[in-house]
Amino acid sequence: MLSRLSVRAQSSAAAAAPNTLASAFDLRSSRLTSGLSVSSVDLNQPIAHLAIAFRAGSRHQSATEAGFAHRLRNALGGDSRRAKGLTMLWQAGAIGANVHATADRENIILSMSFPRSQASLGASLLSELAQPSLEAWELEDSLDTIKSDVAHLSTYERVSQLLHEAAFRNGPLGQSPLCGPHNTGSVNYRKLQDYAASRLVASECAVVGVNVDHGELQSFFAERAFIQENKNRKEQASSSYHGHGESRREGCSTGVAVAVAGEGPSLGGDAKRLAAGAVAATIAQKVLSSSSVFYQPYSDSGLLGFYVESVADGTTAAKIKDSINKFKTLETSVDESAVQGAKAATKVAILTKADKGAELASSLASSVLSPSRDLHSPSDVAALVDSLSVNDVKEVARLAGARLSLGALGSIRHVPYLDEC
Amino acid sequence: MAWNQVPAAAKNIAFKYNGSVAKYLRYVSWQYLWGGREYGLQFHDTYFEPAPEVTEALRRLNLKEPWLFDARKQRLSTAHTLAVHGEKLPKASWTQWDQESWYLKPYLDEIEAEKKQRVESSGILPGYELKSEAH
Repeated sequence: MLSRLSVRAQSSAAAAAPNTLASAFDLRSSRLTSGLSVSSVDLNQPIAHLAIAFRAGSRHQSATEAGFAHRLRNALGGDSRRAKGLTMLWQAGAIGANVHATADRENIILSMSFPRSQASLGASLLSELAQPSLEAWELEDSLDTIKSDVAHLSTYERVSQLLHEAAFRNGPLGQSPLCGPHNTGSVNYRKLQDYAASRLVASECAVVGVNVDHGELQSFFAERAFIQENKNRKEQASSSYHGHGESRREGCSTGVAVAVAGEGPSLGGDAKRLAAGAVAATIAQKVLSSSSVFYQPYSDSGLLGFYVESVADGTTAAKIKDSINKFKTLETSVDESAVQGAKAATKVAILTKADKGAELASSLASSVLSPSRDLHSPSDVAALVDSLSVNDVKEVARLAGARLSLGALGSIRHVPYLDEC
Repeated sequence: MAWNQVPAAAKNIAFKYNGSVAKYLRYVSWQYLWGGREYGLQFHDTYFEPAPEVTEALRRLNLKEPWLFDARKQRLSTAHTLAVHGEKLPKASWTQWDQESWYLKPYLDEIEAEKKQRVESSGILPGYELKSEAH
């Protein structure tokens, strides 16, 4: 299933500090002539993790390519031009690996974990799996999975999409990472092949290895063009936060699910603001104890907000209004003690995530593809969190509470409008 | 010599046995040992359709090159009508050697390669065989 973006956000913040290499965390990065980025970090653990990420998320779809990122993700693991998908997956299983494909609004990530000694076989399998041929009969076979994904959407994901539509309107970030419920039929395979040919290319690709040798990984990808090159580089369409909007959908439910967010720091902006956003999110979670706060930075914009599900009765409207007002005035809750506590919690979260190699590989891969193009060790980011001042966090909290967007699903008559709060 | 020349419609078709003897035998069999020419058919129109490999190849042909699938359907329809009436085409309209395109060959080759790789790797049955077993 799609990864929870709020979980990814912590490590996205982790990966956007200034470009200093910490010796405690041996992080290396290089860019090949084809545009492919190869990065690795060696934690001296026995299991290696490899992630190949492409800028192929739903924000890169054009208007006629709705749902293609979802279809591409579900088609991964199929045949490539040279090898059969079943053979590749079986060989991956023979070295103890499971292949995971994740797609969010910005990137599609293929990842695999295997013992260190199998690094070359793992890399060749993963790079071949990352170039699917997408023939018509394979897409037919994965149609059922599309329908199943759409049917099993959680309420949070539904409301999150409504919120993005309100926040980003018709911009690229407002596109749904999944197919719409009325678009789960078959699609022209040649169009999907065109989408893959334009997005699954070396210039839009980052390879990250955890517990692999950097030199070997770099020479592996340099000697042969495993990932095809594309001469025409399309500029990424910018998606700006609009806000002041609401997307409300009546649902057949006795409850209501609401997501409210304001503009947060972006991955392409200042790294300090990103870290401050993570700290502000931690503070917001303490303030809004009955909601769950999410923090989602994207390349050129971001969201910081909260999500709440409740039954719909006489008190719901007042409770939601109260939560919205607390979020609007989050800046006043940012004081010295709150910031100190939040800094500690944020550092623990960042450094804990760095311990898990598989998650580290995926999060580093998506941060390499972010516009800052700097790779930062988690210990760098922890140091950055330490250096934040109360004013940095106040600034982010103020901006988040300034211009809100709302998405609501269920008994929406119990949800107040934003200008009534 | 007709048997030594590759049919114009089958330019990219690769056979496993393609020497002079094989080509001669293929030509002679197609001319004299197969009865589809007089009905205007291609050889792969009369391939045994219920075989799982051929069913899958036809399904892939329909998805990838639906115009060939439609043309095949038309040829079979006219041939069936002729056979029902006990007629054949006039000799000038019979399928010629250079019109013969072995259109299912690429798909059948791919399916055979998949079968081989499946046996070598996991042994898991493909989706289309699983479905036919379930029925």
